[in-house]
Amino acid sequence: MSNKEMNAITAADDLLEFLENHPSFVARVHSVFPHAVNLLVLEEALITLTNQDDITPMGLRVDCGTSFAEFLKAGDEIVLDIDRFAAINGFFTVNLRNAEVWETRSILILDALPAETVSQTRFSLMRWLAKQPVQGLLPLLPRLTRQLMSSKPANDNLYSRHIADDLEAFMQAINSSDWKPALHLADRLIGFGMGSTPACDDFLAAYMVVLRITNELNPGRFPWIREFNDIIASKANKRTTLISANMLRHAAEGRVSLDQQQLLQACFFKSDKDLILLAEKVLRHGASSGGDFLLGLVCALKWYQIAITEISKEGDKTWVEYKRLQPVPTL
Amino acid sequence: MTIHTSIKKNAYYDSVTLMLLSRQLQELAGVEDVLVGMGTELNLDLARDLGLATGEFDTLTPNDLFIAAKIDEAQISMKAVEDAFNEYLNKSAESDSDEDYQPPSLSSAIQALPGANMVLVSVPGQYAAAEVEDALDAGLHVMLFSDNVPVEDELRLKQKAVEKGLLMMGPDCGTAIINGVPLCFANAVRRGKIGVVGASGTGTQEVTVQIHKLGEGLSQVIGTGGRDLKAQIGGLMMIQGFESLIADPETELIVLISKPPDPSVAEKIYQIAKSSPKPVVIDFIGGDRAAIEAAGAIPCISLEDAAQKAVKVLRGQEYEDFTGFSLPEEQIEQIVEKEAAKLKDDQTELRALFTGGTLADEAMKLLGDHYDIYSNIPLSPEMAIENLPEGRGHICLDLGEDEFTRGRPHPMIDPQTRTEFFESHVDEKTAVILVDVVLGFGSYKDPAGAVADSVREIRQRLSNQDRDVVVIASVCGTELDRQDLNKSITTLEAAGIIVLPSNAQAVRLTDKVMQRIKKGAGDVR
Repeated sequence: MSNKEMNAITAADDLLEFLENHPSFVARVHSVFPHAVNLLVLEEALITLTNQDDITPMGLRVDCGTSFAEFLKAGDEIVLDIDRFAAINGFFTVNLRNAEVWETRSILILDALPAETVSQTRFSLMRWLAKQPVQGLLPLLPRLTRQLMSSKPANDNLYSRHIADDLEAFMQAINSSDWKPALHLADRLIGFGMGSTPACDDFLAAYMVVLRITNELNPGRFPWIREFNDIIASKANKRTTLISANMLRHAAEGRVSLDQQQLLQACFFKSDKDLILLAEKVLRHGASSGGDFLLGLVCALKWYQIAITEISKEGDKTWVEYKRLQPVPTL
Repeated sequence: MTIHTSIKKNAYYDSVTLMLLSRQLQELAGVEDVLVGMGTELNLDLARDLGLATGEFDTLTPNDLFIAAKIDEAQISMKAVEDAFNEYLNKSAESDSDEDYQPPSLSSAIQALPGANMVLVSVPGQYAAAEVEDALDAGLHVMLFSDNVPVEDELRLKQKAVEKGLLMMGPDCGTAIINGVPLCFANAVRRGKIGVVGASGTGTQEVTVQIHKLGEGLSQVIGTGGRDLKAQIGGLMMIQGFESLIADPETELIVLISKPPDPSVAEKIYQIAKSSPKPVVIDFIGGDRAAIEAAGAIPCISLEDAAQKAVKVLRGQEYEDFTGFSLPEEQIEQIVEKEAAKLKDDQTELRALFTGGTLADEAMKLLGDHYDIYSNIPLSPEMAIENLPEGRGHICLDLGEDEFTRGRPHPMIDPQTRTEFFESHVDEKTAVILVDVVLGFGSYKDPAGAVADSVREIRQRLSNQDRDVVVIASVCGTELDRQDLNKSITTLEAAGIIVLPSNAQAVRLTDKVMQRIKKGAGDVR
């Protein structure tokens, strides 16, 4: 087989940081898909190369015109350098020199939109999502959002039917700021669903990144969020696939894929991009992953609405009931 | 029934694949229930709840794939289920590796499709110039569907294309047929000897459709984008396309279509026409007839007239301006009398609801001498729709303009916008509704059906007031279009709509009906 040479188009900033700190690191091919390949480093972290438009944290978007499966297989070893990836068997190399850098946490330094605007955005997203094909957890949209938005009966599936009660209980616990029960209920969600990122993990990832953004926007207001996210990420190491555990670890730190990042920017911050076009891009992720993330997002935005409304009432001294924050749960 | 588990250690598949595989396994004879998933604790719990657990579950990790199946071993073995799984998997991998591949960038697209010589760019306007620049640098012709591209970028890119001998069709170019391949909005027409360069989408479609109906075909149909003939761009692509067709051995006659160009641009085009070895038919809709004739080209009075003249010249036949109808004059008069008789005296207004901008423009130019028509693309500023006095008067709208398509598809793709205008803009004062029905690639699957439904609803509403309305349409399409010209005409006629074979004829019939009403009710101007 001849050497497959390609160029990196975009590189995640956290990947570049890793490469700077680990010169000539030898990674092993963990899993190969037609449009993506995962490289295993440091036992449990994954670097994801993709030839699609989207890019993930610790990811690299490459200019590859064929399926990765044609020249890579699980177990192949790749030497990683800051300017070049090269397979030890000589079958492929990636030139990183001209890659554009993608900042995985850039949205966290922006000014947030008013809560009412976020709420309207959530409603638009919800109405649009109700018209999309019902796969994965999406049959649960009307139930979880208390909306009867479609006259069509929900075309549910085995997985969504099985997990409906637990998802609803998790959502209610978070909306009521009952963090301990919410963490307990998360045990019933982590790793549930088909595929390499099970459906409930995508749902949880949306919650975790919304929580993280809220925490960054309101320093000191929600001291439990960091621990809550860390605990879920930690649990995921044992309870779900390695690919999904990586996704949840990144989400706990406020990092999601580029498409998801742009959608979150449109939800929380000023964006010149069309909300629905961004949501459509996210929806196209996997068979149901995009829809599961979007369902998690509209549910998590409901929590944001409740939490921020409480803060603004507190600021105006018009609140009538003070909800005491729960103690931080321990591992 | 027995329960079996098959395990694939450290196997990763996306959920698209697993979902499809699950469905296909479920359909196998002898399989009562099946669950495919990664071996996470919760997925295994689900399998246990479904009664699909076996002792092998204890060995699974979250990174293993399992197939748990309840089967009737008299009909199927677990080995056969596994074989079916692997077979489906291989088929899925084959399809993933070629047909489903979506190149993330222009360079990977070129790599995936070596030998391609044209790129269709349809990205948000602010990013389009960079993509086009890369394509031109790679030696590729470009069709730029995107709009909102700055005019400075358009000029720079077109200059580069000309330097390299390439086409840069656009921005906002919606129609082209290159080497028989229709791009974006185009109709299914036969190949032939007439080449077209058009700066207007539906105008070009109308001409190509009429040429097809007259029995001839098209060699190449080149779009330029609407701004090309303005002074800033200087007609770079009209000239490039014109010269390409002069050089093209398959093209024997050339048709140029545009709104009136800037005089400086027109002059350049006339100079090329003067020296063209091939006959040139020009429809600069409402343009300078004398100047065109002076250049040795053939001027036209409508899009249909351009097609008629092109075909006649190609066949060596005599030609004159086509101002009439395909039907005999007596039959037209009978239609006018019959339709006008449906109306009450106070029904005097025109509602022209177009999806094609050039067709709307042509309608206003053909009717302009007889009526004051208010529009969102007015012939003069004072006739802007905002100036409509107290909501009453003749209206002609191009529903494909930006103000109507923001946040929703173009009305050629989705008829909803026009449906809403039927509801909001047609009332008891409306005498005639004039519409276009554009078929072809990219257009809605049944535009005639959508118009027919709207007309039925309008007639139902008006019947409560003991009123009716005259509805006149033309269909821009051929029998080869997927929507089918003949089927579309039948659908419209079944709803009581008068269907004419061209936009120009539909407008002329509208004029005749309106004139007939004027006679009965005094001048409504």
